[in-house]
Amino acid sequence: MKVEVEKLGNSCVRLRIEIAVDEVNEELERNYKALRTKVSVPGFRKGRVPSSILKARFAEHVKAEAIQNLVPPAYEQALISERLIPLGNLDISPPMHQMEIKENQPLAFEAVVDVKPDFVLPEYEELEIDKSPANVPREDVDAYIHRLQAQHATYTPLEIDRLVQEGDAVRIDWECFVDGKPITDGRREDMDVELGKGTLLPAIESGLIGMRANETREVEADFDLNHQNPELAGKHAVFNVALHAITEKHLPPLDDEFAKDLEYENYDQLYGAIWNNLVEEQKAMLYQRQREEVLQQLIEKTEIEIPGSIVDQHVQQTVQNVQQQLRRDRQTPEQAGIDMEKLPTELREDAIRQTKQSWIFDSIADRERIRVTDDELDIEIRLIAEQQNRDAQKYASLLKANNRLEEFRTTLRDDKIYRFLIQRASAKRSLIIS
Amino acid sequence: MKDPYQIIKQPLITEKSTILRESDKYAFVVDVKAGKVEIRKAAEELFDLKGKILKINTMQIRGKSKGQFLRHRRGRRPNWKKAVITVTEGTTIQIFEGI
Repeated sequence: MKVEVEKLGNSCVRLRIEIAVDEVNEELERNYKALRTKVSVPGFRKGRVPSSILKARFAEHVKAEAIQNLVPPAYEQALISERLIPLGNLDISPPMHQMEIKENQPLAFEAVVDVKPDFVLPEYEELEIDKSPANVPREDVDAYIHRLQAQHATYTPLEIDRLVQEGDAVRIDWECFVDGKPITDGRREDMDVELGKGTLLPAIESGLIGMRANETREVEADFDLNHQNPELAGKHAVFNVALHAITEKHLPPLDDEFAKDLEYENYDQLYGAIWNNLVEEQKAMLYQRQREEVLQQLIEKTEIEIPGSIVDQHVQQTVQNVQQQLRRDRQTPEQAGIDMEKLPTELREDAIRQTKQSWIFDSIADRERIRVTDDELDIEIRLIAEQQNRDAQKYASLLKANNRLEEFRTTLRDDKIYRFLIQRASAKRSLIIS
Repeated sequence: MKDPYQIIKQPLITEKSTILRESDKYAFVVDVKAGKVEIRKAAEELFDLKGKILKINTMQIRGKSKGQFLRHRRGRRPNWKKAVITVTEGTTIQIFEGI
């Protein structure tokens, strides 16, 4: 097989491919042989038809078959040997159904195709990211513990006879009615509330002020327009509130006893655990930010000319997906808040970004030999299965069945690449002096 | 003389006839009533074989009985005549080539 490559611009090539005589003959011969066992010609037993008759009667069929068998593999092989990665928009000339194949003659054709362009990766050290270490001040830990403490507060009724004042803690029952009917899940008994903390609707809190123990009141309140339950949003409601007692709030002392309630051995251990958690949280956040920085800079610093065809393809596909989704949900684009006119333009940028990212990452993985082995994949799957309380084996086969395994592998690989890049990137000079 | 196409009806292409061709024998389906002399003449005219025909063997083939063995349902395939023409070595008959 002979291949000639002609570059047509940065991301498009013309391949001239010639399949050698030997290969053509061999393929034709093989097809005739295969055909012999299949066809039945009157006067001959199956499989006994001489080649001359097959050639005279089934030439067209055999030739078409031979072209089908020869051309695509030759094209693919040409791409591999020339180290080209096709992106689509393939145009083979002459078209396969018009191609002529003859015994003892080479088969020549041309293929024009969009390929992945060459690009130069920036030096890793050129990337600048914030590399400041995770730093959690004592005050943050203290604040966290205080919140914990407040959550575990207890309330005891007070034996005093006075009216409720602002800032009091009270024990109440309430029931909520909308349009004269009780709403589902709309009652609570013996609820301890501290007024002024925004736990209840402001109208109810102000309604409570001035009540006496064992008194019952009707309080009218409006639900917020943005209430999480759309059936209640903006509705006018009546609350039946009964006050049991004014209570006193007791914060549990921050000691080993408190720690034991939370299943830690002693207070120091609790404190350390919280600190650790907060540091881990911050580290994760920093890592996330570093990833974003690295990606952003990589995309900015790498010049790639992305062929229009694949951007178009991506945009079309996404638009189709959106339309399908809408049809499934029986919504018009307006209802879903999607502007069908603007969507392609928005998607275009996205597509370019995504393509750039995936190419850059592929190329880094290739250069730095960053790979995810089957073992690593296995371990990760087991870890996730454990987190989700599922059987690792079942989870793996589920992924495989949905063709998600490779997707999963890519995610892991990208994570490895991010870590590699973050390690190699230089630290941005921090503006905050700590 | 009768139209030669009426005498020699078609080449007989079967596994056996293909093997026979290797020994310069060509088989045809011919008119049942045709005699060897008539066939020789017709073949000479159709395939330009003057002086190249060594011999002709003919045989009548009885058509097979077809159909079920019920009283009025029984039919036959037509009887026909086969002629095997042996030609001089190296002679080919065009009609057989490339079929």
